[in-house]
Amino acid sequence: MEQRKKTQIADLDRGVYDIKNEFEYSYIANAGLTEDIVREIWANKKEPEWMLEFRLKSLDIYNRMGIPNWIPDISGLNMDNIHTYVKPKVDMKEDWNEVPEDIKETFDRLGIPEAEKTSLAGVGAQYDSEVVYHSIQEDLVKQGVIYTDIETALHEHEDIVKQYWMTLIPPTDHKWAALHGAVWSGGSFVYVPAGVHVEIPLQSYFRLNAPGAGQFEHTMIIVEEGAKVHFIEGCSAPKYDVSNLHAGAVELFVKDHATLRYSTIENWSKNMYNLNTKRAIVGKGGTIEWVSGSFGSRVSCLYPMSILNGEGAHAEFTGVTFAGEGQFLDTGCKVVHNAPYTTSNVNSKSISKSGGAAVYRGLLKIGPNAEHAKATVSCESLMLDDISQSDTIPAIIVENDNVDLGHEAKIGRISDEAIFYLMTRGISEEEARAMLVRGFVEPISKELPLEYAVEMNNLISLELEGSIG
Amino acid sequence: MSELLFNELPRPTFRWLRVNHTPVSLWGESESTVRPEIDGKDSIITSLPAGAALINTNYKGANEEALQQLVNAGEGYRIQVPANTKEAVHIRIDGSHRVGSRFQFIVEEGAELEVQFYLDGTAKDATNIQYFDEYDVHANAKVVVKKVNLLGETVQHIEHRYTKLSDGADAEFINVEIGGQENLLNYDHDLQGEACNIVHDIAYLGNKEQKFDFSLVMTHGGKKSVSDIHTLGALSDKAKKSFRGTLDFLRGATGSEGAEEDTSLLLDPTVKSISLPLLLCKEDNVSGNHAASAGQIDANKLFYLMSRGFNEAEAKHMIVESMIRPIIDRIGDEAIEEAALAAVRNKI
Repeated sequence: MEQRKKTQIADLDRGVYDIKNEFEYSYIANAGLTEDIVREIWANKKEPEWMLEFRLKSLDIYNRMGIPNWIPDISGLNMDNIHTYVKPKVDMKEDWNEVPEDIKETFDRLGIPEAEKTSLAGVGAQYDSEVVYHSIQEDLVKQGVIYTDIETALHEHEDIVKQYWMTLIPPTDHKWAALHGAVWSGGSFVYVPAGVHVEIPLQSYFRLNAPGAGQFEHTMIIVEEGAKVHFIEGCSAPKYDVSNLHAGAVELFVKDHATLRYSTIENWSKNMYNLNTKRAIVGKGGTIEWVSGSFGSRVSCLYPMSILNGEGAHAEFTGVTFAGEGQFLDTGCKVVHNAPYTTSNVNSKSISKSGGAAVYRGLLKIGPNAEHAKATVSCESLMLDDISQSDTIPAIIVENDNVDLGHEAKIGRISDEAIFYLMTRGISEEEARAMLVRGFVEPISKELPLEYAVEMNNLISLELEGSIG
Repeated sequence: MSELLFNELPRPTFRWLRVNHTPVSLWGESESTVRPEIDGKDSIITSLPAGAALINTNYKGANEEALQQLVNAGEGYRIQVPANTKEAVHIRIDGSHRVGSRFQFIVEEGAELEVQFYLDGTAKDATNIQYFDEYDVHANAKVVVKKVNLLGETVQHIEHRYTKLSDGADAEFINVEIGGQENLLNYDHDLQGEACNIVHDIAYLGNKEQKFDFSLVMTHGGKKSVSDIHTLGALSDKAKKSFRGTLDFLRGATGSEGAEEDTSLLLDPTVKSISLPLLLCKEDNVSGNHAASAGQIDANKLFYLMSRGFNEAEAKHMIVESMIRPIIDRIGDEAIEEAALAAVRNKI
């Protein structure tokens, strides 16, 4: 392999994502994390008594738990400087015209209302710690579909929320799950009754505007037996000089023969510590499909987990991670097969450049009861220069003989042979290289909703001068 | 000695999986150690005193404390092969007594060395076989190490191995791991030289409550260095295998290539197979691949053999033996190959 000229890959023109609004709020918790702050958040949100107990128990767990030894360096994150709760100067609206002008403009720039008009069945928009807008199509309401902010759900559907609340991601799971349990605020609640197919997607967008703040939204989706829904989540924040923290939790309950597709693009700014937890439990014959793009943030630790508990349950994970200068994106996925005839496919791609580090960290566990389980994992990493880092750290645990399992991973740069082959077919060298980079991420981009696929293509805008090396 | 952590993963992962290391207590520590037998030309073998310096002082072994204890207490052998000569050394380790020893191999420029380790025997009570073999393979030199482990069921078997490869050096390592109750093997291969090359193939066969815990690290520092790890084997009853394989491409290892593959045949529902094939990369101009697979015997193969008149057990025997045999056939010593094949047939 000879030495080649390196391609200059343009950093994302973060444009609309980096536009900051004036920092205004109706309430802000003091920086740091104390019992008084947790009590204040609870009182401010007028939650039931059991939630205070839950928050305080979580705080206690947080204080006793250490930081895992395997995660990237997060020494730049100081909880004493983080405001865990920032209430925007507006209550939740169901009419877009009632949302304050500056917040509305932010979401307008991100294309949220436009998307609602054209291709979404429901939209939620969170600004800092609270949801400021929520809507859902009338016909879905008539079919019993609930799509609202989690605070409203806690008051109007308390039994359901209490039954499922942090059962998939208990506060004892890890330090950031405990933090989430203590200071969570905002997020979406989706309930799809048995047999209902929501044909067009629901979308929530989480925007963190406040500097030095944390966003701890909680998303709970319950898809009852035989139901089907596609949920899209988008996240962004402008860049500040101080660190921000995102420690959300996503709990997905996919019942027997139900299907949930969860698509997400996390495009945080590079001062963000993104320590997010996502988990799904799938019943008999059910399907969970994850489509995941991780682009922004200074540090990310994100490993969506699928627990296949019902016979014949299926998980599909399609993910792409793009790490640029100053970023350490430790992402991947976990699949646990607990029942017979369960199947899973994992397809992960990563690109690292300009000193960025992209890590795929995965788990594939096939338990003793998962006879006839089938699983495939494919990880590919592309290094675009020699100052970056790309690691693959998979764990494969098999506790039963009747399985069919395959795992493969590749790391390297674009092959000279592939470029040569395309050039012999009359394609110019630059176009051949461009085709190969586009081809590398194509399996992911084709799974994304159109507007996000366009966003991703913009994100990976290539300057095709010189070689991709 | 209390429980020690063996074969730590170079980059730890999720703690709750309990795969980042293997906690182990050493067996038979009160027993005194016996020296292994070594057979080779007298002029190349000298005594290695207790406490002699390591080829790489940063090497931590399967466990740092256990290795240090071995280095401080155990006398060993130093085998130095002069430049441009060809030598062979045979080492027999008898598992009927506790063994703790070191072997330091220096293979000078252009020289060739073949080493054969044969481990067999079993002790009345639980005992520990532990040794540390180091290889300093100079420019354009070659080393071939063939190891056959047929130890008995009372033996805890620990090997620490470090290899340093200079420019154009070549190493071929073959392991046939069939015996021993608890096998903890740590192989750290340092590809420092330009265009050096290493292949490490391991075949294993575990039954009852046998444990095989493999840790292999290929560190690519030299340009155009090439490494290949291949582990394959079969597990039955309550046998357990952990494979921790790491290909580590350091910045500057331009043009290097590495591959690792772990294949497990699972013969009973009570077996456990853990695979951690890591790829760490700080250099873009490299090619790294890993693959892992696990599953039952291919039903089509089984059907084919049974349609030719073999019963199911015989057919399974043939398939498992045919998987491991290509590695056994590379040992090159007819008597040892026969002993290994007999052990395979007894176990399936």
